[in-house]
Amino acid sequence: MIQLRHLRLRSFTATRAFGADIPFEVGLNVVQAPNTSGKSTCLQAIIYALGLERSLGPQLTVPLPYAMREQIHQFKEDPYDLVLQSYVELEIANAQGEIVVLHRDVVGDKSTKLIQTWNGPSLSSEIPRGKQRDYFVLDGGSATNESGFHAFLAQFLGWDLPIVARYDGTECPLYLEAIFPMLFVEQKRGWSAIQGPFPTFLRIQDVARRVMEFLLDLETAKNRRRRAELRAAISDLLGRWSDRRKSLEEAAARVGRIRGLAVQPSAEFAAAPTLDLQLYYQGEWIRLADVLQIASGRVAELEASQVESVEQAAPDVQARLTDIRSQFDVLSAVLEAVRGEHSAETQDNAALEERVAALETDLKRNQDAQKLQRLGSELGRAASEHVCPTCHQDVSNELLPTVDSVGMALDENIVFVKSQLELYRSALLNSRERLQEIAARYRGSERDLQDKQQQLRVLRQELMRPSASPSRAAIEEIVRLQAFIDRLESIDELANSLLDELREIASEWALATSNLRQHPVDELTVADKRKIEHLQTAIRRHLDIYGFRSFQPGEISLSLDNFRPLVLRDDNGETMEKEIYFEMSASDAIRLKWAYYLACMELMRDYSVNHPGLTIFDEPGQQEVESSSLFEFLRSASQSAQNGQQVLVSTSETYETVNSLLGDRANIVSFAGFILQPIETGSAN
Amino acid sequence: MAEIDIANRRFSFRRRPVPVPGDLRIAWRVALIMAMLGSSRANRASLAKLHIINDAIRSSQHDRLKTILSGTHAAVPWNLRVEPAFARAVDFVVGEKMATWTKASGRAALQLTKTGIDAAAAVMGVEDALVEERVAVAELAKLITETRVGALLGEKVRA
Repeated sequence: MIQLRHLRLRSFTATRAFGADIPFEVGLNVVQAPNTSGKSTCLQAIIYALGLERSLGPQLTVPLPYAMREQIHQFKEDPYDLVLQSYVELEIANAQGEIVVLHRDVVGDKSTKLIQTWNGPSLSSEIPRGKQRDYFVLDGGSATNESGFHAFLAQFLGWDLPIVARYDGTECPLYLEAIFPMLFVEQKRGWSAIQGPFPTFLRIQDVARRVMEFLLDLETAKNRRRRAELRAAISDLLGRWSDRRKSLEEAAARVGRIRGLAVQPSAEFAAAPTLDLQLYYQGEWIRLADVLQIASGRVAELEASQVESVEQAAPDVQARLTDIRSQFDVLSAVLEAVRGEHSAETQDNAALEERVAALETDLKRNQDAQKLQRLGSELGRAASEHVCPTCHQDVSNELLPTVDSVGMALDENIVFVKSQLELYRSALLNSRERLQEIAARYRGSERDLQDKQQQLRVLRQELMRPSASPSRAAIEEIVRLQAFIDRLESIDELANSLLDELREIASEWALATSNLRQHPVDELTVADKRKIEHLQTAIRRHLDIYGFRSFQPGEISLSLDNFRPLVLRDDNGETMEKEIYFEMSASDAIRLKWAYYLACMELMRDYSVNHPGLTIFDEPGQQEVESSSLFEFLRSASQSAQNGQQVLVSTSETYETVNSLLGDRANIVSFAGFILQPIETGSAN
Repeated sequence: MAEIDIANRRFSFRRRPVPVPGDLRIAWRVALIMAMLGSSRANRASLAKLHIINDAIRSSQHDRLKTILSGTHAAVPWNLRVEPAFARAVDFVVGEKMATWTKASGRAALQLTKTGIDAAAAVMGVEDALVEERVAVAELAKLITETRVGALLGEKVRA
């Protein structure tokens, strides 16, 4: 919530000081003065003090008239004096009762990008100024940086600004400049649209919808945000999964292959993670755990056996030597075969890759051709209607060389290429998998071969040792097996730790996915709809009071898309919602704007909304709207402004009229001439 | 499987349409030519230049061509392949009165007509098609001057 308490304008010339002090109260405040006397200056000074001038447009000029910037005089006939220094000060309060005074220079030594603040009501009660803090506006980061004024203001208002999408695909907070046109109706352009007009240079997508969702605090906006967060989290998890999966695959590829690890996480995996690490061991694929068991069993067996002398072991060693030698030969042959297989598969793979790339290019080009058809006859009749421009014959063979073939229609062609692409892609995937497996098999066979080679060497040496010495073959086998087991175990350990991580990722993924499903799609919730209905009823009520005549007030409804007013029309027996702008008289557009803005603010009373409870109308008597309507508007504005809410209105209706109409129901600040008048220099700070 | 009585049936043959590579689509190629001419100086380019760019784009070698044109690797040869389909597309362009025959630096050249300029602008304005191609064409069309066309074709530079 925001409440304006006091506005002070100061403009100094070489000889005199001009100024105005306007106290505001809770409820309706009317600034009454004749035309061209400075009412708009006052209201725009509020915008300027809040650093929100860019809600009026992208230009960086100070939105204040000459009197505050360049030259000033006391009466119309007087010569002008040059302004040497000027500033604006505004005292505001929030829902917690905190009060700050804002000071911003217009002309002077300090940068206009600087807004100084002091705690405490030093404008309205002349007490000494409290703690000072400086903030900046208009520079990048003003809405997000700790020392940015709009970050401070949002926090002061208790606003948690939503993050919204921009046209260029980036995101930004919903800037205060975008929100403010729903609180301040500026005189020159403000009355031209029912909502806003919102500044477009901020490049926020669906800005009207985003602002209304925020001001009315609709759940759908929060849901959308939540969904975006969940989607980001899910894509992050998928990335981590494929990352971990890759390192697991790489680790596995050092010894064998991995089976049953899905490309994407699943709930099933989260519940019961399984992993099948296989090793190519002695000619077949065996699970790592089984290999470990076989190897450890063999070690135990060897350890248990008695150490024999070379002589005793000789016949056995001889037999093993022959056996291993023949195994060695077989393995060498196998390895050669696998190597051949590998190079064949590599070639296959390369061919498939090339084919897929060519198909992808072709698909792209055909799709481009399809999109280019949108240009229609711009590219000539040959391209759009397949008629030769010269001989008027059919050219549906496109640019194909043979005359007697008919080219496929574009759509059909695209489907055709796509199906081919699908086929080749899956073939490529299979080929990649085969390639990996062959590589693993190759490594497995190679390891076996080395193993055998080593054994052969050991056994041969064994036979040449003195016959009485103890046989070393068994001991060496134990050592070799132990080294093998150690290697497998380290990989097993790595796999297990990665498996834990994968399981964690999978369970987080499952949670995020189910959360995402639970969040309703981009639709208004029941509570949201209730709010909108309430708003609609309030708008109709206001319209009724203001003498809105272009339609029956009951015909006005609100778009559920961006909450703009629509009119319900009977169109051939069907009730249709239609845009209203051109079917409405100009003065009724003004009435609708009053109704819309006041109704939005009134919603605060019954619902929790982000509306700060302040609405400013600069000269609501537009388009020569009848005085009676204007008075009705002022009267209902004075009623609307309850519960600490505030409405500021400037008008050039005479003081007598305004006073007799509103009396003590409004704080009327009246000026007979120019609002900026000479003041005692002593009272200026 | 039940045997089908073939003898007492009437046959009719219908020609199946054949798939067309995307770059043999008239719309695709005409749009490409529009982009080439539209990016060239004064909306005019010699047929030889068009052939060179066309070849580079089709065979996805525009990066290589750019390297050659940048002059850092002076000795890289460029083998130009002349594509009949391109010539047909050029005929369509002329037939549709989007470009007219003219001469540039002593070579046959194409000049965009008013309709052609509009068409080229429309092609450049399409956001989601020919994205890479347009970038490459815009760069190449500026880089390849008519003098350089001669060098690329292996003509002796006249003293």
